Amino acid sequence: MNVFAALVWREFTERRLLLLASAFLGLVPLIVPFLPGSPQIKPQDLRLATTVVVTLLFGGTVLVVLGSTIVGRDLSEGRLGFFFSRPISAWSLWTSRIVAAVLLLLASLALLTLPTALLDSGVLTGDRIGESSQYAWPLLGFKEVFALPGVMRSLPDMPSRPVRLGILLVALVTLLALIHAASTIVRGRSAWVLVDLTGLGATLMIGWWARNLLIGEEAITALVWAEWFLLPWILAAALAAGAVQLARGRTDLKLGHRYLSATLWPALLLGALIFYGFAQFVVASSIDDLENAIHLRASPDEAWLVVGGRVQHRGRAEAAFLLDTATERSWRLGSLGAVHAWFDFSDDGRTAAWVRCRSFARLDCSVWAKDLADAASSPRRTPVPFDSRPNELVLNADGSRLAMVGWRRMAIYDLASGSLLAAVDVNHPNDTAFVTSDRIRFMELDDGDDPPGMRLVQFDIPSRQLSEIGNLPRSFRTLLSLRDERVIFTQTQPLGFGLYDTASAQPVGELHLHQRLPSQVHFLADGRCVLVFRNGFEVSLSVLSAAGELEYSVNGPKTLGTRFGGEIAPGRVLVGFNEVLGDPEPMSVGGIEGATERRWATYVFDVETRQLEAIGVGVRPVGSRRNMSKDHLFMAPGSTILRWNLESADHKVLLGPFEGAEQARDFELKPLS
Amino acid sequence: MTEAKPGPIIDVEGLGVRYGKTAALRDVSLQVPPGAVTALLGRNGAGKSSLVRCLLGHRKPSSGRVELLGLDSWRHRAQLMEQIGVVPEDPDAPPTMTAEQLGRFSARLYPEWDAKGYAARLQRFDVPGRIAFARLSKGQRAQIMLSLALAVKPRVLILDDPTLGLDAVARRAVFEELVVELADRELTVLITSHDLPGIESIASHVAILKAGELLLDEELEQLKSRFRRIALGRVDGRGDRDADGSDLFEGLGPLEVRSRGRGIEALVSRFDDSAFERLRALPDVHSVETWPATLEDIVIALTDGGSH
Repeated sequence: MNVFAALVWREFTERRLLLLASAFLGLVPLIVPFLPGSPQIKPQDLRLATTVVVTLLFGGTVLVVLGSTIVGRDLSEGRLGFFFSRPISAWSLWTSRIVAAVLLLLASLALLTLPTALLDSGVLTGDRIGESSQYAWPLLGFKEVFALPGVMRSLPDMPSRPVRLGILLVALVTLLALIHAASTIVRGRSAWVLVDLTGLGATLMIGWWARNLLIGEEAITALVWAEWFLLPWILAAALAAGAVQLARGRTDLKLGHRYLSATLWPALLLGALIFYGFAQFVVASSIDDLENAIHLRASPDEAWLVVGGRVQHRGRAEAAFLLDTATERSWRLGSLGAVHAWFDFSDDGRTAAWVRCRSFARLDCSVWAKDLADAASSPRRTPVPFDSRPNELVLNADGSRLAMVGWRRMAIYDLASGSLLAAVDVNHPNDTAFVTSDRIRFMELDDGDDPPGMRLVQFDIPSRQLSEIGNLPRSFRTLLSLRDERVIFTQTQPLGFGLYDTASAQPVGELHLHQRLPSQVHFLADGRCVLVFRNGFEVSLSVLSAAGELEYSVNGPKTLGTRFGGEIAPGRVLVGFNEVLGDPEPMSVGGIEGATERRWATYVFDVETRQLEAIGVGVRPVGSRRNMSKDHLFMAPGSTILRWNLESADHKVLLGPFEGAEQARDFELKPLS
Repeated sequence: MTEAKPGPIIDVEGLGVRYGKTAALRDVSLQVPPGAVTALLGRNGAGKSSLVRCLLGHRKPSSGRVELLGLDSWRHRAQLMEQIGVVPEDPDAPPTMTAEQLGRFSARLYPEWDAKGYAARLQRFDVPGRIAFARLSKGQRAQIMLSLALAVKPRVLILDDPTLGLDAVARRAVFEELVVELADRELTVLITSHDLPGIESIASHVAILKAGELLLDEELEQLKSRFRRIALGRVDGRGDRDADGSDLFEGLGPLEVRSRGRGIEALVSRFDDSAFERLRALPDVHSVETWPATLEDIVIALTDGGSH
């Protein structure tokens, strides 16, 4: 320890001029506000901004200088023999120099920031760094603050300041060791630089592939996990390489370079391969790896189901799968986020299309499709050349055409050939739908207003003509009817909601039922709609005619939420209620979830008889609103997905219950009366 | 009962060192007994520094074995260095450190650091203690390195051309200090140098390297007894200009034979009394003179590839 301390102290004192320079530069921010021509801002802000700039520039320089000379200078100038001719182990020599460099760097950063910190204590906590940064950015062109307090502050979700300091230290040591490695390679000037370039290229390439795999899957937490693994791995590799260089190469620069390279690149390549293997593991999840089902979307006939959720052991990554409910065979679609945003079933239930992206790059996406009529076929990448991220992906009724809708442009493709049928400039389109295979209707949002005004617009594909159908009211939320012939708005002027004809953009009816907004709306096949109004735990169902007139209202069970299923027969709708059991405790914001025991129950609401018939306890519908059969999909406790024949009450569990999900409870199913 | 002979302090066996395709040392074997002062001699590039680097554990041998004090010098370098004083060819102490700082730094590295001795030597050498190493003269730097090496109280001293580039005064100071140290205590020394007259005064053994191979390794006295210069005076007074005269020294290992005036002068490597008598008995020889060769004569004769 005595030897180690002696070595550290020697290195530290040898470079004491760095500390003197840091102390001097630390005073510069105090002088700047008094210089003629300095920006007319508050002196403390100018001090902070100057501190950021000086710390970044000088701190960075010190880092590079220390990293490149802490061993390399003595080695190339033939002075390392002095230490190897003394009772000093190579490990002590290496670690003492790294420790001395870190201490010097920290001392230098402290001296650079200390004078300003003494004048403005906010620097110490980082409270003011964001404020000052606005002056520093234009000077530096950087997006992040790398000054000590800024780094501490900018690290997200770090549990405590010691952990942040630890990360900073690990990062500094890693950088020092890597700069030393680079310095050795440059000073070595041997043919081994080809090995270095090959190792660097291979490591970066594998790492880049792995990163893109995870980003394409939107597995950001997994990527963060990987970075948490990679940072200490790189540190260990760089430290080990430096140690091996000194232990085996000793005073011979070229030999040391070879040992450094022979240690560093295999270690970094192994780390990159582990990273890549982890990324492949993340993207290779199967439906059996699901921990829960947080996204469910059924095909119109409910023969197919998209299930998305978190996949286990993969850094909280989420994935989506397409499940054939008949054979229970499944295919991985990609990241849940992409499938959630860009997936569509054709109305005939024979085609599914979706977007997969390989990274966050703008032009790194592709359109995929599956022929649902051929259940055994695999998903295929379509020749559709649309490679950016759309706002909407919409299939026409028979799945032959695909509309890719962006903020400013809409393109319609032939799905089989990938040929572009038409493209048109648009302005923030929304709720795009094929009226026919040759005609698309969508709503354009007006810029700037909140909530925005809307125009109903129609695009004729053969003639490539865009025509405005009419204006629609400013609204918060819209819902299209089953065949898109009606649209209902929750509007602000006047407060209430309105039912509009989508073919003419004319109001069918203006509704002012309870001076409240419905929480759920369900259109029936005949054009009528059922609205759910909630007042605390009290729920009522109101039925409107196709002309928008109120026919009647009935009360439902006490509930915290409702979910409509399909219309199982004309005028008979599946409704799930999240029922409150016993006497509900008074509602309070944020206290509902834990305060009240509840369970899902499924009813059939008969619009003609106005009756609610309970047919299932512990289950809720998840199926399509277009499925007018007796076979439907439901979710039971533990996110269990089951297919249920309402007439026979026969059921088949397709998925779940999932481990770690809500404790599986019993559920009951009754046949329809 | 016979006493066990102590093993060599330096034991090199079959040492080979390669730099890429170039062999710096080939199958070198060398033993330095306790208390010996071995001069390792040879021309530039003969492999002296490579051998010293291997001895100090700075370089791993490509083949063979190098032991110091019975320990492998590569594997046990740090441990061995507690007992070894080193003076390198180029004084390599950190340039910003002063002699005093070097002393304090070294005191923390060595358990038996002789602070008084170090200070006394610096004083004898008249080296300033508070001037940065890089700002001192080359002689002063060498004197500091020697002082550092001796203050370790080493069992072995390894000096790699310690007087290189020094003026005559500084060279003499270095050698005098070594003589004092050698007289005071049992110290085994390996020294490489081109200052052959200087080294001759302190060496007990000589090893000579040529092109990476060891030509000889023996005691200096023995070496000087068999390497002699001989001058022959011929009866007919001719210097035998027509022939080189080598046949006259057949069996004596002639290294140099040249005409000089009316006679012939030779440097032989296998001189003995019977050879001397045989030369005197030759019919056309009227006088025979012989005198010891200098170390410089020997080294030049052995290592200058073209002259013998």
